[in-house]
Amino acid sequence: MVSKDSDDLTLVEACRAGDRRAFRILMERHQRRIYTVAYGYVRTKEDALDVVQESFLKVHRYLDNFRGGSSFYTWLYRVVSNVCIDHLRRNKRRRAVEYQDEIRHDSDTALDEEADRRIVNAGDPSALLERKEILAAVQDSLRYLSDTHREIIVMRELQGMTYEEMAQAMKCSKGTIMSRLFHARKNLQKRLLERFDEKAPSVGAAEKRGESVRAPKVVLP
Amino acid sequence: MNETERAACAYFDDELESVQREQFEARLRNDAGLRDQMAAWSSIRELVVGEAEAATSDLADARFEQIWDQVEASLDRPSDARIPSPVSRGLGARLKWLWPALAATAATAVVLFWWSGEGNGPDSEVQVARATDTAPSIAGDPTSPRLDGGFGAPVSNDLQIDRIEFAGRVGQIAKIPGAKGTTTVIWVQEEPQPFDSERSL
Repeated sequence: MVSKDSDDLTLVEACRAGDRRAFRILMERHQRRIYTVAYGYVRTKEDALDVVQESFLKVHRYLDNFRGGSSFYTWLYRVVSNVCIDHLRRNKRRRAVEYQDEIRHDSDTALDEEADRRIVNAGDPSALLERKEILAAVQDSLRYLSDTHREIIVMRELQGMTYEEMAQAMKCSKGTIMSRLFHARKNLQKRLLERFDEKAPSVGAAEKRGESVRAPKVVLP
Repeated sequence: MNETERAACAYFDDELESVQREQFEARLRNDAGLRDQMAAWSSIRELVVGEAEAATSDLADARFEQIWDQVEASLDRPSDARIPSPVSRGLGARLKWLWPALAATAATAVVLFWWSGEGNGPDSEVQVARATDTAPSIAGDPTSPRLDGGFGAPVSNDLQIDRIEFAGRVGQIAKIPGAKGTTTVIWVQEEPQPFDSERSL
């Protein structure tokens, strides 16, 4: 007999034996996290809820494919990732134009260093997010990323996947993953600063004015 | 992406071996720019996670209850009952979309059999007309050539259906002679399904 205190693997075994209650306990344990990951990919609440529902059904249907080689958590989030990617494809909202990773991020050491300092000097991220305009700027910036870049950011930052896991999920090499992740972060950082300038000019203003600047001043776009 | 950037990326994501990690940390101590980069990425990570968590915290539990109502309803439907694996599903289940086509083909076969066995009777044309009301159009087509040969042993003037199209799929019909008679086989071209990887889930 399973309970809400049963561990994931016990619940999985019970599910396989047809215990519907075990399935619900298992999925309710992870549902908010699944939603968080789904929202990271699809960027709208309603779409994320659709993904959650579809993920539940997929997990229920294909639970026998989970062989225990990784944690249930890892397997579950791979299923959710796949459902999200399929969802984006199905809705033809994928943008592949920035698939060439370097297109948007022009590598410029001086610009990069200043951007790093401005993000750091912007303040404590959790405190920043309490400001609606900052939250909106982050949302806009994530929406602006290509699907490929957003996928890799979500896999790493929200799902905590390793390079190896991401390489398997995206069917590419670890080197490609590293490159994509690097450029995705740079693009996100660049966009964040642009949005901060538009929506919250006070953020990082001291750095932008040139105070405490340790590198040559560079005017950001 | 240069070597330093690769190392920075791997360090930040905890992907370096201990020796490489120690080497990179030694560089970090002497490189303010690298330290800023690490701090910037850390801030971005917190912003990304915080933004997603903010979206989740707004969500009422009632929305999940709605989802569960729909999930439970889906699971109660036989077609959505848990199936161990798409690979091990029964042939009948996997080809359930084929049944209408098989039914139509069977109807045609009945017509052909009737025609070949009793086609000389006075009621034969009435029977054919009735039987082919729901059959593929070629059998019901009054201009179709009449069949005179016996079923399973077509002669040159026989009507043979060797290709069917239905629901966007294509099937080839072949007749294979054997010791116990002729076996009719319908080959259906099915789109490949990547059932063998988790990506297909």
